[in-house]
Amino acid sequence: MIELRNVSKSFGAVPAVADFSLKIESGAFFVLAGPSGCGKSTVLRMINALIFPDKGQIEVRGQDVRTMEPEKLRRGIGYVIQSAGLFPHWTVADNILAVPRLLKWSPPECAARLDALVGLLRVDPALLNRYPRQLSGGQQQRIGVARALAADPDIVLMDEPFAALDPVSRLVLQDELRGIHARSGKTIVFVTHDMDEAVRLATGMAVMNGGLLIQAGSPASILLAPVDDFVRDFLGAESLQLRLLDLVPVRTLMKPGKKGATETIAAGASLKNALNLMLACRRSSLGVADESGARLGEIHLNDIVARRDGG
Amino acid sequence: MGADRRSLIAALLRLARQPGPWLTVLLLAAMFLMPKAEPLMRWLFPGDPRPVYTRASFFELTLAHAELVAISSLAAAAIGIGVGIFVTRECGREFAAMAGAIAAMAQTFPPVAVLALTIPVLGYGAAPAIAALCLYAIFPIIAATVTGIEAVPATVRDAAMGMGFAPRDVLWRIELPLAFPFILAGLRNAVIINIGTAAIGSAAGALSLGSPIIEGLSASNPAYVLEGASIVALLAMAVDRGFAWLEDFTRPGGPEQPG
Repeated sequence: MIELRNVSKSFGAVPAVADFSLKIESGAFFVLAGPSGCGKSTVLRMINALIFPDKGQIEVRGQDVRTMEPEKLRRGIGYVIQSAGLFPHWTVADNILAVPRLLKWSPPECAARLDALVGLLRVDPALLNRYPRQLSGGQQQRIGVARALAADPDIVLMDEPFAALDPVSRLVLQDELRGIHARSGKTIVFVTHDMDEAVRLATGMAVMNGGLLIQAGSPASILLAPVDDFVRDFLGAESLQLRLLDLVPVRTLMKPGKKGATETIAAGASLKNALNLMLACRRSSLGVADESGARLGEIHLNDIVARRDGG
Repeated sequence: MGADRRSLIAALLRLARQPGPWLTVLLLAAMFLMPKAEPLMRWLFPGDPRPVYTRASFFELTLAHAELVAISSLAAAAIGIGVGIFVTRECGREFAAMAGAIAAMAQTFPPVAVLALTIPVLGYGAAPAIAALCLYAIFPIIAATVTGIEAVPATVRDAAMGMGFAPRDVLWRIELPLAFPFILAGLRNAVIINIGTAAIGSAAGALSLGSPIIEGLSASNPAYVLEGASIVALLAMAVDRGFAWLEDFTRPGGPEQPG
């Protein structure tokens, strides 16, 4: 879907990305992680030709980005940035429909798409006629994501989209984004410096430092076998086991059982959530429920502790 | 019916509290009723045989004055906004400092000197006055345009580019609308300065509200100076209120939105 081959880019004398190669498969939720200034945003901005590399090649959908008209390429790729970057003089609805209108969709098509997006991202319809300054940070970024998805692009680029949000808004939007990805099969390239966020969202990830690709693979493979001390430190070795628990849903360790344990947790929640809830209510077992709240079984602390890592 | 009348009265009272309508009424009165003010002028300046300027009607003078200001300000707006846009483009960025320096220098030139220098080229009349006024108005308009465009948040521009806005779309649909309040403020500044300065145009033979002022100065007739100057001042204040209203009206989301 997206392939970078031996890409290098300097700004003046400062190298930002050096000899960077990466292949992102179609349908991946790919996270580029690393400390600030490691070149991850530069990589992202080269994918939609906001920046051109000095050396190397970038292909999107099998086509060299240099051979494509930049505006046309970008209209086919969703783009979300940290502070949302909503147009302050446009209403929320106009902001969401920016790209469909650039693509000259008809008004009925735009109206239908707006309806669909309001449903998909659970936007309060009362917000549509407001201006961005009247929205909270979380609401603004929700609109930013809706705007990126408006023309239904198969690729979405996201540059630390949730970094400036409060923890609650961030978790909610992360969950929704993961759901949208799972349902739509879009290819998402997501830049973050937050390791928890990376592990929670990624199907594949790359860790960068100083403009170099240090390690790429699934989140579990990187957590279990960091290639060097930098990756180990960046992952936060002291909480490695907890991060691994974040990758595994409760249903994998669920056992049949209908009695005991009054507290319940969703089958799709992570083992980390389960452990957290056990600590919070001082119990060694929890009930497991499906989305409608119907009891499916139970999960036990012993099983979490005895679990063998396999990713 | 009673409620209708009450709301009408309330609306009139609201209007009466605004300085704009009052200034407009005063301006119209000064323009049309100045000949009727002869007793007042006689009382203010006793011994003056002809205390009211009659060579041209004050309506005619005000119209000619407004024309000088309008033509010079429109030309200055076209040039100033154009230059402001150019020096904020990728290709024009290196000219930004130079354009700013030249425009600032132009403003330090005394208007009388500009008139003296342009008369040999453009002859007597309105042309040198318009040239001098235009030169004066360009600088505040360039400055306002550049400030307005540079005040567009980098993230907004980045988002627009990243979504596939062409540079032309970024300018027309993002940068200029967001810079508009700044440009309007610069234009307001330039026009108000020009209304005052346009009186000097009469020194080059242009008809304006400066005509009675300059004649009054040369003939030691302070009544003429007062008549011309009071209408210039009222015109400047009324136009200023007009701009204030326009700024309020064009704010995105309408005049009642909190900022």
